[in-house]
Amino acid sequence: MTASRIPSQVVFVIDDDASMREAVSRLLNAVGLTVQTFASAREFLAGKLPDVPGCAVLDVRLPGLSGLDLQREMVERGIHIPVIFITGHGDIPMSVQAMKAGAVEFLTKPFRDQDLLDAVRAGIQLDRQGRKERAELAELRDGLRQLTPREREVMSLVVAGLLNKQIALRLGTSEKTIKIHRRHVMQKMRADSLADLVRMSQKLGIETT
Amino acid sequence: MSKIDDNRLELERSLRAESEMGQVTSKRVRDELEQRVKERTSQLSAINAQLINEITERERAAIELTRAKDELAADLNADLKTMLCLHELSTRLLTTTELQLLLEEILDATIELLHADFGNVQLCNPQSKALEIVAHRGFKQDFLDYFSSVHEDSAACGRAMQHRRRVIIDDVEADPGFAPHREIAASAGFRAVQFTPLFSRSGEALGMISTHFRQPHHPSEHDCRFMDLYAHLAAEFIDRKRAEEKVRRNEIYLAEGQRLSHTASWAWIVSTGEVYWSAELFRIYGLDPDKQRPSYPDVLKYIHPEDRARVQTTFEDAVREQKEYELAYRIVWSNGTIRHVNNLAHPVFNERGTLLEYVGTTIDTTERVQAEERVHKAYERVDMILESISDNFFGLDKEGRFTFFNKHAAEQMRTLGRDPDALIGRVAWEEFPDMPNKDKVLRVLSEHVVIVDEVYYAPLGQWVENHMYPSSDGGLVNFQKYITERKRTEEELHKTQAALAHVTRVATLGELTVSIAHEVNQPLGAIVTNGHACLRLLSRANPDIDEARRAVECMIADGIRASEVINRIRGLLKKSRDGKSSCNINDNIREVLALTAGELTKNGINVRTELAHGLPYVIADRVQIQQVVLNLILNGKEAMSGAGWQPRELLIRSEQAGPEIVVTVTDTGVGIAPENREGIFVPFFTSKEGGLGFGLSIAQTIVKAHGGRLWTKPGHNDQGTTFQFSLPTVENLR
Repeated sequence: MTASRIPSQVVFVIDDDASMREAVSRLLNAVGLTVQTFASAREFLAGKLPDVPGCAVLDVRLPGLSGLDLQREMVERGIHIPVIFITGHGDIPMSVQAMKAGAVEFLTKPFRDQDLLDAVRAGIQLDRQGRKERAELAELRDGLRQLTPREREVMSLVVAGLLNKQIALRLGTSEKTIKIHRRHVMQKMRADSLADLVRMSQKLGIETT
Repeated sequence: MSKIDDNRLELERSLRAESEMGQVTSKRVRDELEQRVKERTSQLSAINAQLINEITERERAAIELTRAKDELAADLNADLKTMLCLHELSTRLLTTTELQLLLEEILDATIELLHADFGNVQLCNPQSKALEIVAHRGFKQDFLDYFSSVHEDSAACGRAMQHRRRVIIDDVEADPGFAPHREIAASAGFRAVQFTPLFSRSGEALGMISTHFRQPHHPSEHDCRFMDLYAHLAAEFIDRKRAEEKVRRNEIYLAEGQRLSHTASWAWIVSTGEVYWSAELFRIYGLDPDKQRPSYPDVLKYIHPEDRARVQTTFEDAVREQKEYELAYRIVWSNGTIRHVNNLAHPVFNERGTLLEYVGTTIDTTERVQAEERVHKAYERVDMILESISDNFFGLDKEGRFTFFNKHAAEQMRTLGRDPDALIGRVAWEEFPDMPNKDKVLRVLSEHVVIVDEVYYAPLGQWVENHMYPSSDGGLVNFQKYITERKRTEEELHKTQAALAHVTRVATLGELTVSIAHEVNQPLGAIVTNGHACLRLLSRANPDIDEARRAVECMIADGIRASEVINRIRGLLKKSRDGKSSCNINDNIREVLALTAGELTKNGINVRTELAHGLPYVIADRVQIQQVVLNLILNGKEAMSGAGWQPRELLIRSEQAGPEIVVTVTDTGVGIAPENREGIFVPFFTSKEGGLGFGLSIAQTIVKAHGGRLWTKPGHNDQGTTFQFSLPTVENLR
């Protein structure tokens, strides 16, 4: 079922068994979730996915690319949608593998509806969170890109805990110049405080002390 | 001269008379006289001249005569020489054996005789009837090649042979018949030629002597006559040579004939005691022809001691009574070898009835005797075998009459209350009207085919197996054994096989548990989820009745799906009772696929089907055929199960191929090594851990029992494996 307008969240259901697909879809719809169904991993990868928080409910056994392979493929392609596995037969090694690869949940059919709904909700929440974080990170990176090389240098020394005077000495320039650089950094990075800047740096993977 | 004298005398007389008469008329008379004298003189001159001519003539004739005499003498000399030559050649005929040499000498003599420039001798080839040059003088290769083989109807020499007469061509330029050969004649350098054909006493064409002359020439009658003598001599010689040759050949043939037939001839001259032995006889006796030729009674020492007395008696009796005799006896060679011979001899008498000689033929019959012994032994052996085999052995002639019972067959007849000896010569089905396989017996007798059949013979209470073979006399022989035990065992075996098939089936299905679980869990899972959804839909503040109804409908459908799966499995597990019925092969394939689809997908296998539409039905046991398909599919899956194996494709195809339906299962797996392609159908062959190793062998048994075949070959592009099995369509069941 494709939504006629952009939904606020979406669940992708991928199962080669039509009745299962339909049943899961019906269940999720019943609690007001928007669902998109696919009969195979390839269909899913080829599909136009709406850019809203969501998660995927996959059968482990799929024709062509298996569920686990799809999970791996999604990671490689940078698709961050959380994955919930449903399977017709419980296979411990498989489930362990799936969970280690980052699946949200691994359910065996027939499952309790609540279990699925909980997993879906958790998944969506995860995705929402993830999106937020990714957006933030993008912003930070954007800010970082705007810094000049000198400002970059100053920033890394500031979050390292050096005083302006020490920085000035290190870079062979005056304290006043450093203060100006520092101000620019705070502006461009939109940091409110040093602590803020430090957090940002950590997020960006810049070394801090 | 005397006439003139007389005339003069007369004249003087006349004159005197006249003068005495008167001298008056003397002048007139004188004149008259003178006139008469003139006349007379001229007359006399003429006669004189004539005389002189005659004398000259006579003288010339005398000279002529002398010359002719000389010539004749010369001719006689030449002829004498020729005759001497002929005589010499003639004597040589008696002693010389070299035909070629003699022909050349004759040729030389002929050329000399005729004063010819070239010549040649041709012999008639008895096979091709053509004349071939065997000797020549003065010719070059081109001439020899040109006339190397001449047939009767061509060329002038051919003409000579045909008309059996000498042909003389005075001038090749003038003779029309010689026209085609003028060029070769010119090249060889002759203008005239004579051909003298040679014939045997019986008139057979032997050859030709030809002589050639540089200038146009016609040989004289005389020369030709001598030519004939030479020709005759040559013909004699050739004829004689041929006769000698024939005799020699005949002698060789005779000797050869004797050798080949191991027949030898001998003769014994009674008066002198001389014996003649042919070459073969020496061989038969193992004697050296250069060493001994024993006569009677020496020859006895070569005869086998046991036969000696008999030979001696028979021979002496026959000679005494001057009768024919025949003897068969053995000869012993010095090295101990024994030869069997058969001797036939008869006496030869002269006109007065006196015994001249005995002539005989001796044949070496050793091989025949040995062969007869072998046959005899063989017969003994056969009899021994027939008596010793435990089968019942019957012989029938072409009318179906009993000819022979072996020990056991006779026993069987007695068990049935019949006398086997009395049955010989009686027709089998007349004596046993309840004979269950009369039609087959008739078939063997009429069509001369081998038939093996099993029948139950109630009077004996036994199952028998008859092997009936046509025999060379138009009848048949029957080897019969009791197979009641065997039949029982076969029945047991059949039961066991069925049980085994069943066990295999179960074991195979055991492998499918995972797949089965999946197949059942799918619909069950959907049912539960739909149920949950339905409850939620109904317990909403605003219940969605329609959607809830749809959910329930789906649940029902899935419930049915699940039970169908169970049924399918139960169907496959059922013990098959060989219940054959009309089957749609595609439906069967699809049912099996429905069961296995899950298993296959789990293994990442892409399943493709190409099932032909409108295939005719087959008569088959549905369960068994599905077992075959299942087995092939699982084998395909197994072949592609290696970790990371790619590609994983399974193709299942059904199609009609003439009178059969062919089902193909192709995988892209590891394939089967060529050396294993036969072995995989043998029980216990398995490369699968925990596998029973029966699947393929039972699959093949099933297919064969349905009248089809199961085989394997490499898959597409030589990768993977293809299994195919065929089943006859309904119309084509044999």
